[in-house]
Amino acid sequence: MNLRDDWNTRYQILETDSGLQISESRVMLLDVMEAHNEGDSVYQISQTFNLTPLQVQIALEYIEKHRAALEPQLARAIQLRQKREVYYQDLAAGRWEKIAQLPMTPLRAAFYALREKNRQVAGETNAVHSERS
Amino acid sequence: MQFILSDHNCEGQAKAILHVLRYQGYASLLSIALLFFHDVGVTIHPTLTLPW
Repeated sequence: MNLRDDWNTRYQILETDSGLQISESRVMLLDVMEAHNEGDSVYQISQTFNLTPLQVQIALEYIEKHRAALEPQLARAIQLRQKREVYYQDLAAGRWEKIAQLPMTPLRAAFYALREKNRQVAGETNAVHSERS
Repeated sequence: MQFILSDHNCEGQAKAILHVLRYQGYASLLSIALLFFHDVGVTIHPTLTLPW
């Protein structure tokens, strides 16, 4: 077995109950695929998920080999995540409504002031970006 | 102080989120700190599910 073969067999893509997973980690292959599709480099992906560069490389090779089958799976996973986000945003909105009924505290007042300040900064930043584009 | 324990396989994402919270002032206001497995003496094994 030469060095290249040894590298290629060091990690595998495993089929688990939750989906395809990179061996010696709990990272799902579709998460790596999404990051790669968004332009993240091997280095960035390994930093984000605490993977070795070789784990990422093997995942990317698998993705390229099986891209046709994986694309619909990724689209479904993103759709599912969006549904979940809507559910949790609704839940959070309900909690904010309940919190609004409670007496104001100094910490909450400070939080609201900071949130407002950050929203203004974000608004100004977005306005500058809009003018430039 | 409120501590958030990050999973080993999303440390990069956890650091990025805390960076934004620090930059925007929320981390200090709400006394939030991020911990990793090695901070709490958990041996990092890639398939570890024990902490969860």
